[in-house]
Amino acid sequence: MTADVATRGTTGAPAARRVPTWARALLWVVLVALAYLLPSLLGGSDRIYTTVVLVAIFAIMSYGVDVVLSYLGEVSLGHTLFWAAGAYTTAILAVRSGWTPIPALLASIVVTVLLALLLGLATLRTREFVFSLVTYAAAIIGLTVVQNTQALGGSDGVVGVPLLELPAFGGTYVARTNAELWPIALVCLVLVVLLVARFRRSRLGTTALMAQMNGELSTAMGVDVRRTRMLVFVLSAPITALAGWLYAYQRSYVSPDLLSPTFLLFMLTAVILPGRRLLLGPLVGALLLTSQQQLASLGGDADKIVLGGVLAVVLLASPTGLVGIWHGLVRRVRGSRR
Amino acid sequence: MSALLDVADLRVRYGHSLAVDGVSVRVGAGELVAVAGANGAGKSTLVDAVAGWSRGRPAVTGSVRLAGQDVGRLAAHRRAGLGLVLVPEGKGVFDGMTVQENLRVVRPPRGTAGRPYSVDDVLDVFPRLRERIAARCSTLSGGERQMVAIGRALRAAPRLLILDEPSVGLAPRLVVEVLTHIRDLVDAGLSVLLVEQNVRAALEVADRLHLLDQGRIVASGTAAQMREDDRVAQAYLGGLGP
Amino acid sequence: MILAALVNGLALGAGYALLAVGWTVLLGAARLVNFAHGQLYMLGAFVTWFAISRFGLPYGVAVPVALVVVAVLGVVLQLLMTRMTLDQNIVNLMLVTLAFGYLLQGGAALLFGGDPQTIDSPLQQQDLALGAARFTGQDVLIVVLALAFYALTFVVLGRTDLGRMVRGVAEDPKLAQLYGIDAARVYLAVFVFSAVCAALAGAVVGPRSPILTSMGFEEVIVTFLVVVLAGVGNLVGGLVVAIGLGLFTAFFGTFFPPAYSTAAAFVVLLVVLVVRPQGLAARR
Ligand SMILES: Nc1ncnc2c1ncn2[C@@H]1O[C@H](COP(=O)(O)OP(=O)(O)O)[C@@H](O)[C@H]1O
Ligand SMILES: [Mg+2]
Repeated sequence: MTADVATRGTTGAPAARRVPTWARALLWVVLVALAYLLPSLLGGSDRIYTTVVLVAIFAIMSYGVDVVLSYLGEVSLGHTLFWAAGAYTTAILAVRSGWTPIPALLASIVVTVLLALLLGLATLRTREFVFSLVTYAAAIIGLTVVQNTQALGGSDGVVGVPLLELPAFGGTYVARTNAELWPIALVCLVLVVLLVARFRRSRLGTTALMAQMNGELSTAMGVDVRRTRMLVFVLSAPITALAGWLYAYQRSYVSPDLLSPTFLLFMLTAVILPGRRLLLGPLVGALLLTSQQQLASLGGDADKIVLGGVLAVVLLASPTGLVGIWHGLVRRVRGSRR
Repeated sequence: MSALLDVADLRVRYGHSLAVDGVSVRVGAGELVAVAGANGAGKSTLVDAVAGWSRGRPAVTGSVRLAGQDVGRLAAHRRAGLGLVLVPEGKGVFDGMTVQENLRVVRPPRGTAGRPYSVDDVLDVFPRLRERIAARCSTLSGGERQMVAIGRALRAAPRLLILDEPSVGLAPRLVVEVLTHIRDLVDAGLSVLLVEQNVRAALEVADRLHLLDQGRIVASGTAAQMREDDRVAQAYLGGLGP
Repeated sequence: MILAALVNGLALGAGYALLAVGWTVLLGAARLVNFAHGQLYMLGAFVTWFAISRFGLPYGVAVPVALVVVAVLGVVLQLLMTRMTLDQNIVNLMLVTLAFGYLLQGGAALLFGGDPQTIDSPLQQQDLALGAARFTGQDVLIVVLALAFYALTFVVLGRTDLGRMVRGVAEDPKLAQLYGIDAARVYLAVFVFSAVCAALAGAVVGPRSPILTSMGFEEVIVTFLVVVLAGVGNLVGGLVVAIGLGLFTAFFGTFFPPAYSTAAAFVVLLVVLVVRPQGLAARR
């Protein structure tokens, strides 16, 4: 039963399950290649490239929350902390100490894992909503602390993050524009999707799902629910930090707004709008939301209303998201044919 | 003659399993009807569905009429307001409150319900509660808690009182005491649908009895008929009925 | 200086207490974690300000107007969430209240603008002194209201039918149905009460400093600190912890940069959660 839930989404139609592995792999390769070409197919303007890079970054950011929300069934409201920690660690090390991107990424991961461990351990023995409250408090308080700490750049943040340079065959690859950043962002996104796909099939993934479906039963079956929760939470943090790392280079500065509730609402909506527990859900969600904000923005406050409104309406009208609406429609059409 | 409670063709499903499979039960005014059967026969599921209540998520079909009125679609608190009052199996009182508070928190009935019991009336029925009136229910004995549960049900002015295994877990002497209390209430005019695993005890007080097995009624009759019934005797009275 | 911090801390703590009292009841009764609580506080302040500056109402009339507006809003929000509350879908409840809060913040920014505003309360001009400590009539009002609301809540929960119904639903919502209690109505009453408390806190604490539509996030954290430290549903503990937190904030702000006071309190909370996950004052 758990396996069925976990695989739903990768395989839209039941028939897809019978497709051999090599054909599936080929399909994925074609999809990635298409994604790579997409911005140039859409005209290749700077705006398009900016949008697709942001979609990739925000999707990665959302995958961190997705792992906790969809599979563990708990609400982490502290992932903006990991997002900001990734970006700030990168920016500070790159600007002040001249670190190159890869060591900066490793440092970001270490910092976020430590943060996640701290929050996870503190909430290990508490009731479900305390976890959400503590993570939320950590993010909001993080915002005040960062704003008021000069060592972290205060309310101005840290500016002048250098270009993203990666070692490549015969020299270095320098991402000067969003168009040049796109391949890197896409590779990161693909790696994260692969990681999440792997997680869904892993012992930890199925255990988490089991713990979510029936905590008591899984405890009776010898599953350590607390340990599972801790592991999944700690796994999720560096995913979001990776997005922060990319974002620091994309924007070339970091500021306390990374900790604002806007990004928090974005992550949650990106997971919930398409429907929870879908492998490509957060990507689709990030695509929809980023497109609205980049290409059809109504201004800051109105965009807040859009974001909050979308999340509220989805939860109230169809908590299973767009997929839930789709399944409902399909059922209705089938039903009326009979 | 239309019965006070008329349950027709009730079916209750938990997911794919059918726990109650087309049961019809009637309870007339001033009558005590018992439902007996083995563990898992579907007794609780049946009476919970009659009260519109459950701790799970069952799917219910069929009709439930109280004095001719179709109550089958009403929420449990609305049915309680009309005098269809259930004392569920197991936890039937608020443990965090005192006896007095449990008796007072009951919403007073609206309209057409039966005889209203004041807190004092309840204490007259169960004198033993008088000295425990200020005690938290979590500190009461099983028998006392059952009395509080029945007492708070009386406070709701029931026309039909449904009791789900009120004697479970009680010492034999207390079983007799509780069931005698119930019979007294019936003799005073109340209608009761009683779930009781202990068939012998049920037959002592009931007017009629239905035997439930795997969600279906497999035998019914008056208490006298059922005492003579072979199936009942073999299955529940050890074949050596008194 | 100590005395000044003491008096300031008392006023702060009373404000926190007012903010938290409704939430305590709400979380205890409905297991509903309302992340929009801080935005209801913000609206309490801004509707008061709006009624004064736009319609020229006196402060004493503007506050009740704000309470009514927020109460109506509370009714709408809870009616939207009734299904979820009855199902006790805690995950979705947290998410939807978070969305509501964000929505309210965006709406308030559009409606009231992004500038800081001040609420004109005559009591704020009334300077009083107790030895070396200076405070205002507004501070006295906050303390009086906080104590009054705690007393009221205590009496209602302990002594009235409504209170017994709330406690019954809190203990076992399913069983409450069999007592003839309509859980949905109880949830509605509790939610509206909680919203009104938040709005009142905003309306009376607001005049102490400039208000912004972006405020409210710190307030949720403070509320949550109070409720979790006190132990969920513990009313008296809530009052004590709230006052304690106010004093802590005031004293911390005297010796360290005040911006870090909530952070410091949060660190205390993390330690407490590890040592006593059930809260400081909880019995279990
Ligand atoms: N909440 C529930 N969810 C799923 N199945 C249930 C639930 N409650 C009872 N059942 C099943 O329904 C059947 C009847 O149970 P019940 O009505 O409690 O029997 P009885 O009261 O006669 O002992 C049993 O097979 C039981 O396992
Ligand atoms: Mg039973």
